[in-house]
Amino acid sequence: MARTHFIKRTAAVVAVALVVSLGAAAGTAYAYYTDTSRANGMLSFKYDPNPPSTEVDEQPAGLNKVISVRNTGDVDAMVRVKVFVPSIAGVTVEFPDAAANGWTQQVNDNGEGWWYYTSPIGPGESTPSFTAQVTIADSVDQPFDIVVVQQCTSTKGYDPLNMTLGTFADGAKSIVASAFPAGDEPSSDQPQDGE
Amino acid sequence: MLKTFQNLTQRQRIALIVLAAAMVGCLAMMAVSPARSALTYFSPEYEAEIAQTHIGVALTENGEIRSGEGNLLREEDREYLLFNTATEKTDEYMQPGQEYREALSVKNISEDGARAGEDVADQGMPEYVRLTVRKYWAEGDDGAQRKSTALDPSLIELTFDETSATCWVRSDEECTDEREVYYYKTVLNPGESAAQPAITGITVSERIVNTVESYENCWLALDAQVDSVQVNNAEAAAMSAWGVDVTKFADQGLDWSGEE
Repeated sequence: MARTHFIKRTAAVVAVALVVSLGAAAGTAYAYYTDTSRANGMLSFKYDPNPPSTEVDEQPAGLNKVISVRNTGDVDAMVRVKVFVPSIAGVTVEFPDAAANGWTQQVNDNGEGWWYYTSPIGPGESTPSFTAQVTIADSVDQPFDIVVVQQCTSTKGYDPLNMTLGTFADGAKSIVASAFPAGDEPSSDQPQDGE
Repeated sequence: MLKTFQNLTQRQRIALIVLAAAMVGCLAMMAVSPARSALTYFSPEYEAEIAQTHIGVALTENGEIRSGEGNLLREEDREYLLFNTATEKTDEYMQPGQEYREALSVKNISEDGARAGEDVADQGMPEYVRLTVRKYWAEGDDGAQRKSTALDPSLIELTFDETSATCWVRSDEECTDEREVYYYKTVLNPGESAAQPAITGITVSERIVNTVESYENCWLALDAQVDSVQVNNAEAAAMSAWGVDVTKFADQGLDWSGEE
């Protein structure tokens, strides 16, 4: 029994000695001079593979202009038109039939006076036209131009239930609720999202 | 206990008593130590300073030092960044297939730690550097963007041309669709910028035309990091700090073996 005890104790001592000697052989650690610097940032990006494309159609009718917009692209578009009225005393421009033909200026943040067509127009289709009725007083003795510009956007933001028209260059546009009498909201039958 | 004590032999009892007495004696010595006084003398205090050289590295974008979050591709630089050299106009957004100006490089700023009035040549450390650029798409509103895992980062192409390749080595093993890693071939002395930028342009690939995912409203993000190591034993330092064996780039002209 003493002999077994002696063997066990020897084995334990040898094991401990091995562990200690291996630890002593672990090697030295070094430190190095290093430095690092980091910066990050991001840039907004927008890629629309199939943007809508429209053209304005202006027809003279005497002194007046009959304006409509035609979709020349492959996808549905929401359009708006702006008529630049010269600031000449005696020249006035009115739009008597615009509202009746589905155009409205009753849109949020519309300080610039854009006329928005309240439904999408499909590829190849035109909006109903409206008239820019020009009245010239006798005192006007200089030539002037009535300039019409149009813009379009995709129908991805169009939601007739919430009366949103879409996102134009100056932000999302929605019809102000008072624009339409009850029962006369824009049609929701038009196809959406380029269908 | 008394019964146990009585069972012991005479010798055992004596041994036990001696041990107990010894223990009491030890305790007494520990608890009570005599008070002593000794003559002492203190020399005046002397102070010594050890000056260390500083190592420092900075990232530059289009020649300007940039550091921190939101300081790459800054909104105030948008007009410069999105200038279309083909049409000579600033685009509203990056057009696929068009390269825009974005030069990423490094500068050794370790002399900035120099003390005024001292010989600048003694301050600062030459160093070896590497540049890591991570590119990805993010989505969300301004200020609340989140990295997108669905949009393909390989559509963001960083230009590494032959001129850059004269000074930098591109580590093909470490590069992925989302990350580019470049090592500067030679030493960068204090105050010096890299002879050529590693990245000279950024392009959104025309392959974006064929993608299924929508890139209609997202953010192009870059995250650039520069690392430097000391010149002495640089290869060992790079292995220790970065886990990279830079000797494998020796055939591409990278030499980190010696002093400047």
